[in-house]
Amino acid sequence: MPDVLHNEGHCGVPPILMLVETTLTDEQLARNVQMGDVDIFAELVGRFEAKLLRYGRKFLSGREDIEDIVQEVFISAYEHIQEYDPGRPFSSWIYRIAHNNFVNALRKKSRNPVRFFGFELDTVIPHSSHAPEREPESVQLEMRTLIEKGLSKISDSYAEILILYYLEDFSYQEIADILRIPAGTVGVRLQRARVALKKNALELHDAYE
Amino acid sequence: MKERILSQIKKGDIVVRSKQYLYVRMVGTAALAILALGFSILICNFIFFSLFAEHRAPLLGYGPPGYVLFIQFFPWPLLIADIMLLVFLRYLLRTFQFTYRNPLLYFVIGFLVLVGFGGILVNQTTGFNRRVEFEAHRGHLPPPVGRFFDDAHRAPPARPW
Repeated sequence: MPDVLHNEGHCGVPPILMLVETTLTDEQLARNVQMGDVDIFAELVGRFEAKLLRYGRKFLSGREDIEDIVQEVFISAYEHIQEYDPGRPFSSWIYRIAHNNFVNALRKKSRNPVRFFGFELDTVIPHSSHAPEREPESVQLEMRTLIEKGLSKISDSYAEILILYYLEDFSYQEIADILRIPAGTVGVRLQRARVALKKNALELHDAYE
Repeated sequence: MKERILSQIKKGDIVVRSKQYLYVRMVGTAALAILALGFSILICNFIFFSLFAEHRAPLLGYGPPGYVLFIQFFPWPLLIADIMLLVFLRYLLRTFQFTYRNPLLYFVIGFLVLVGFGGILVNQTTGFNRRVEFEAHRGHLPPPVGRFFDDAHRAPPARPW
């Protein structure tokens, strides 16, 4: 009978422990990393690598060094793991780190018209924070198609919120925590982003005709 | 990428920031925030002192000539200093949920209420201003403090029109 406890599996971790790791939530894994279990961090990297690369490719569109930036995200996450609160979603926390790194990369291009003196004007006044129910699947599919085609023509803050909502499936509150803005502002910005995307799609359609 | 990161961690190229560092940072942030709020309250207290020492606030009841005099005698540098402290406080507390989950307007209103109430309390209920003015006139404080109290006692004309 194979020695499942002592045979080395992937990254030196025995297969039976790998099975246990995959059943733990992201938050439980992060908690274990905080307690000193370094190998568990590899599982977190495995879970989020593809997602962050996809997020980065959509957000930064065309940059070859997205892998380097995502690697920096994981390094930063490990260095600051003690700052993570296991009572809150780990995905929001690591996406926040990713957002900071991608924004820093974008600042070199300086094409974010919404920013003004280091804060966004739409975070100043209160907006309703009631999040409507998700649109029907057909509408969401239409939005995802539009996003795939037209993100490069709209502002970065609109592009990011569309990616987080339609492609990464975050809720208003999770997006608020990632972007560090009020939940009401998420709704307003998402609405404006949809309008901008559809307008861009119409312009493209007219251009082809 | 997993293997690269794990090997860097095991070699010691990447280390976790300790909890002690986190606590020191939190305590430092809290201390700075309390200091900033304290200074804001003191500055607001001086603004109220300036307005009420020589009855400048009632100038607003004299129509346009009164408004002009009010603007002329208002301690604008102190107000600018308070606004800068507000911006600094917002920057300091930007990572906390109670700050970013609420619109900026709520933060500003909360700051104005807290600082305004604190300023009035210090001005009306303590002898702080009298003690500071006394020490300023004895030369124990920097000259701008003495000049502030001289300006605060400069009376507006009896008939603003």
